[in-house]
Amino acid sequence: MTKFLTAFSLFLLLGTASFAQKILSFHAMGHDDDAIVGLSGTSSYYLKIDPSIELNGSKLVLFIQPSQALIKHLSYISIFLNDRPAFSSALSADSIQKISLNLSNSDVSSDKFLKIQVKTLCTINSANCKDVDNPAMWMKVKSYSYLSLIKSDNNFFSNVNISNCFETMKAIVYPANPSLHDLKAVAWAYSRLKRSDIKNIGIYQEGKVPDSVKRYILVGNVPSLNAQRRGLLKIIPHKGGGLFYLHKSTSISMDTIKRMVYFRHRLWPVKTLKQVVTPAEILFITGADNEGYEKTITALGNINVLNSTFGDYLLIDKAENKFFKTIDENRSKLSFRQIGGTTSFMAGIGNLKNSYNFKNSDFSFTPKEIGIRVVANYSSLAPGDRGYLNLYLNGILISTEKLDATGKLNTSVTISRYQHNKYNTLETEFRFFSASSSCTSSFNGFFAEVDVDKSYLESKNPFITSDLSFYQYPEAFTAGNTRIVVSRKYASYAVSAMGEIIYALNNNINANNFPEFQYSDEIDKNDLKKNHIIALLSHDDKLMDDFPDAPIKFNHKFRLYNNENNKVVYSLSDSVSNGLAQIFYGRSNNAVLVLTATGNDLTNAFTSASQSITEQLSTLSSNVAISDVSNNKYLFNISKSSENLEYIDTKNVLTRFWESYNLYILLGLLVLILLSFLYIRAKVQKSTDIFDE
Amino acid sequence: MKMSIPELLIHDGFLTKADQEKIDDFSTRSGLPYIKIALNFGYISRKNYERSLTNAGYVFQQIRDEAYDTNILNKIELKYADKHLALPLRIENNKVVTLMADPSDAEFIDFIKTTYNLEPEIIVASDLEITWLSHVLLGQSYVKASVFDLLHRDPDSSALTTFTTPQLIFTFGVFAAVTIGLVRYFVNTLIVINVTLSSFFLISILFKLCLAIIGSRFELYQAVNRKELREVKEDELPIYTILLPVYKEDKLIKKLIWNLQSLDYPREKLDIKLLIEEDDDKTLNAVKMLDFPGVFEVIIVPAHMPKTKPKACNYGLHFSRGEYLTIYDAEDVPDSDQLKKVVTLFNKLPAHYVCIQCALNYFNRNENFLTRMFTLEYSYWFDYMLAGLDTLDIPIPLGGTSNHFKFEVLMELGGWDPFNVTEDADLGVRAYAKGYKVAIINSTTYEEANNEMFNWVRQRSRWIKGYMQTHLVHMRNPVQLWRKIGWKGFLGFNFFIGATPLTFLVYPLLLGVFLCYLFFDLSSIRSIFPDWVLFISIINLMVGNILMIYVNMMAVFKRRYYELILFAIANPIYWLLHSWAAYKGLYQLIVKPFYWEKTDHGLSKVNNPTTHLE
Repeated sequence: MTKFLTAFSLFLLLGTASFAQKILSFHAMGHDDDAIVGLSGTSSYYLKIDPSIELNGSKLVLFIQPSQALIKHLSYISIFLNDRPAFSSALSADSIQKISLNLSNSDVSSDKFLKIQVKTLCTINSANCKDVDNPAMWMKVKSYSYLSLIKSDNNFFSNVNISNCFETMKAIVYPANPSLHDLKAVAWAYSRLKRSDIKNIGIYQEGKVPDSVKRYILVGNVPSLNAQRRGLLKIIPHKGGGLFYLHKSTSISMDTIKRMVYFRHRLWPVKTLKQVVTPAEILFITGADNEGYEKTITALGNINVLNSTFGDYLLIDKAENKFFKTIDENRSKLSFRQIGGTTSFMAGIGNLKNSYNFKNSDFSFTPKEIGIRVVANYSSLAPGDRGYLNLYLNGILISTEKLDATGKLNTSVTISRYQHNKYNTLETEFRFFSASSSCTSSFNGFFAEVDVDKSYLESKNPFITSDLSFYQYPEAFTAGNTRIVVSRKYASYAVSAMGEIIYALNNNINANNFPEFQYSDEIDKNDLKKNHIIALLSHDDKLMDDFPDAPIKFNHKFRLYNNENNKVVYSLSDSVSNGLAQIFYGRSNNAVLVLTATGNDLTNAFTSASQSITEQLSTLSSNVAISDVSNNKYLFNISKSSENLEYIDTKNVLTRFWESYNLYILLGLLVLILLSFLYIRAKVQKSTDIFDE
Repeated sequence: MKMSIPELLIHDGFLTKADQEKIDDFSTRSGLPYIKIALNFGYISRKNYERSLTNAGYVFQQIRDEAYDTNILNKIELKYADKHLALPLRIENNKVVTLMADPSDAEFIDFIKTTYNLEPEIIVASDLEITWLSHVLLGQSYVKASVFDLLHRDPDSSALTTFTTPQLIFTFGVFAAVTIGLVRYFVNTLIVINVTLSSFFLISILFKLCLAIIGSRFELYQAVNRKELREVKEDELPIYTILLPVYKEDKLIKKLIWNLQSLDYPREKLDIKLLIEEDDDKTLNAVKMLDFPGVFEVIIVPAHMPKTKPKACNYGLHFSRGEYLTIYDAEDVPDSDQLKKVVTLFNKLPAHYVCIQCALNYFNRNENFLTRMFTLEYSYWFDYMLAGLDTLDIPIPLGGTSNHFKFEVLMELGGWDPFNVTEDADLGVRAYAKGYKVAIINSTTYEEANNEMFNWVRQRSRWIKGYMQTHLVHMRNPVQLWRKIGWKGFLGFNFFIGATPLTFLVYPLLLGVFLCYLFFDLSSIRSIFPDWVLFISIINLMVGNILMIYVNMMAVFKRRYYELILFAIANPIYWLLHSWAAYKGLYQLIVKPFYWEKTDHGLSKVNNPTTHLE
């Protein structure tokens, strides 16, 4: 036994060699067990390959669970990598079939995506035309299928450049005394990272960055950088110039390495401590001075510039953010391609589905009704065959169209404002049923493709209400200029929230909202009317008083009551950290969003508030959101004169007196009434007495 | 041998032989003495009478300070003294000192001789002075009767007690409940009050609209046409009493008497009583100074509280001779054929019609804003509302003057309530409760519209106070009232008599709330107006006001006063004046309930009432 263990250890050591391995299960990529239903079908998976990954030597391991009703030797599975066949076979007798494929760099597309397609063909029996509708025709791609990726720093210095470095960044670092430019830079960097799907973005002040964070964005103009940081810059921009500079280095540190080891027909995770070479990346977002710095920030907002910067630095002389404005400024019509649809040729008889995700904010206004036009081509139906195009919105069948012999489809359906949400999924599904007489020969002869350029969503009427609600955020800020106003003393706490807001404002197909930043004590009152305002304020900020239309005055202590039972549902308290947000129309019908935070954990409170208002909100009319640092949310619809809102600190002496003594006052009044009763009775008596004979 | 007074008057040329014969004839038929007829039926003016007697050597003496002996007075009845215009005062030098307007009245001299067994010592004095003194000295029992008769006969109908204790307990109980509600549940209580008031206003307005529409659909007054009038036989006409209660109307007396002369009714069948208060020397002097013969008789009402018009009228009833009776105000100009029309109508109507109300309107309607509004209001009231009430068989609040009664029934009803300042409205309800009916006739009495604001408010405050009194009196026992006058009468009474003052009291409060909401943007007002309440309130505000204005506009059509139509729009301002008067009335109701707020007449510059003649 001892011998065996020794041998096993040796095997492990040898096996680890010089590679670090990264196991990425389908589940971690967001895919649960994925059933491919029907006679034949396809499932596709995409994975962004970051520069630290070396595909040569990496593996794709798929676990396929076929329906037990299938005739295994007549059912087939094929794997395509980057649209090229990589594997095909009839099913084996196993209840779960394992397919292991070696990957190579050629399997990655030019835009660094690994595209995996699983195609199936099922057979149950040979009886004519019985298979088509048999629900037992399925194969499942298990969620514990995984990619075993080799992490390699070998090509670190050559692979990583400005265009792809955002995929691996973990944090943003800003100067100790941030200026407005710094805040703006952090906000845009945050938004950029969020677009790259980076979770848990850390935001640190200079000097407080944990040692474990090796890959981060550093903002600040050159004069504000300390000597050590400045020393890392190999290029210094000239006066008025901006600079992106990616500093790459490696350092040696101890790390825990996890490997999967195949032992006794099973994979075992094995962890070991190891001294590793850790690459570090710092992306400087800087400028020679504020002017140059501003140019860099502008360029940061322009995704095309960054995506095409394959070097380690980019000097900026001139920056434009008007680029997108030239494209269809009034986004009332969105093609399927614009909302992320790709050309997809589908063949077979089952699972001919495409799905498209769109947000209300993809339009330049909150849409009221949305017209959906679908243009598609398909194999024309032979006489007797039947075919349908089904449209599903958020999982609900909203339309079905019969297909015919023309092979062309042009159909439209309009959805009312109650049918669509802030975030929506539209699915198109082709279904074919062949005529019984010819099914033997024409089963697999069907194909279809949605024309993603000619198909579109269109909304002609904006959803307009007299009061603004979060449902209309962020579209309400799309037209016109937006200004982000922040309380000077809360600026450093509000940076991530500002990042969330910048992300929300630009998280649509055009991404063209470039707000100006300003401190609350510097803003001109007229600007509060001329621009849309997003204000991140301390709750005692005087600017609060310049929003007379705000449903709640955050600068006062307030309580919210439940309409039904008059119980307090929320009371502002200093000791608990809460993020508060409200949205409303300002004096000149401009959109205003005000956020504030209370308690000690101001940063998380702000962030929580800014996140809670972008989510799929159940109510259409909430205009006040309160969320705590644990992301519990409360949404309210409150008007200025709401009865369920009460300000505690505005009660004057008289009110407090009244509250304490109203029963005594009532008693006094009743005594007065009694006295007047007696007085009038006496008067009546007296006037009668005169006439006593 | 001295000439007798009639001979003297013929001798002096103030009377003709024919007059003399007429007087003798009338005297024989009526039993009235010569002097009464000569002075009170338009044969000779008092001035000429005095002049004639003075020339003949009679000396008219001032008699008010003459000493009197109660024992002597006890032996003469006021009515007899009043009939003969003579009064024995005391025994002096074994003679009965006797005041006489006609020293040659043999019947009275015989009365003195037989009653006291002494010769009279005659002091000649003005008939008015003798009337004054005899009523003051002998009228106490009559005046007491006129004050207390109703109280003794039917204490429940007397307004002597303004608020009964249960009424006070109820009223203050409501106050207390509202106060508790306001302190404990402020908003809800306000909503309840708000809804109650709103509904009340709405129902009240709809009720009035309903009346007006019904009133406009029918020519409801009982028409007496010219043919019927021509067929009236003067000989068969009954004696008609006209009561003219006046107080300090010296300026109007001449005009009043003149107006009465133009009444188309046989002089001898008229029994016109000018009721002058004991302390009203001004009016008495004005009567003395008349330089033309008048057809009226002066009755002095001895001083007694309360000094109200109904008390004076009750007093006048004791001396009335007529089968029918009516009341005119000093400034009234009745249509000249009014009495004949009324008699004709009474003959046509069933017996249970005991009162005929004439329409009232104004001869000075175009004088100023106030008179125009007043005219609109009266036109609407008499031409539409009363007609509507009549059709729906709801008790009609009689309108001040020009209501003609069957004398007997009036006595049966106990006359007017001297403690009620709108005695006419009260009488209307009492009559209705006994199953009697009021008819409306196509004859108009033109009055002087109040053209001065403070005077207007005084008058209106009295009316509103009277409505409150009347409502309180009859609502002492609501169930009993319900039984007496039925549900229609009960509702009509409450919405008409009861609601009117309340409407005016509440109106400025609601208007205030509305104006505050309009001008100060008091958003908190919204909280007491939930949507459904706001809906009712807006209907009230819009529909209610427009309807009331519309109803007032309708008023001009029957009388073709088209020039007034736009003034109907000014009603909301006019109602504010009503509210002012209502609060004044409420105050007086508590502090001096029986105080008669005197309206000054004769302020109008318009002196040509003939314009009214249609």
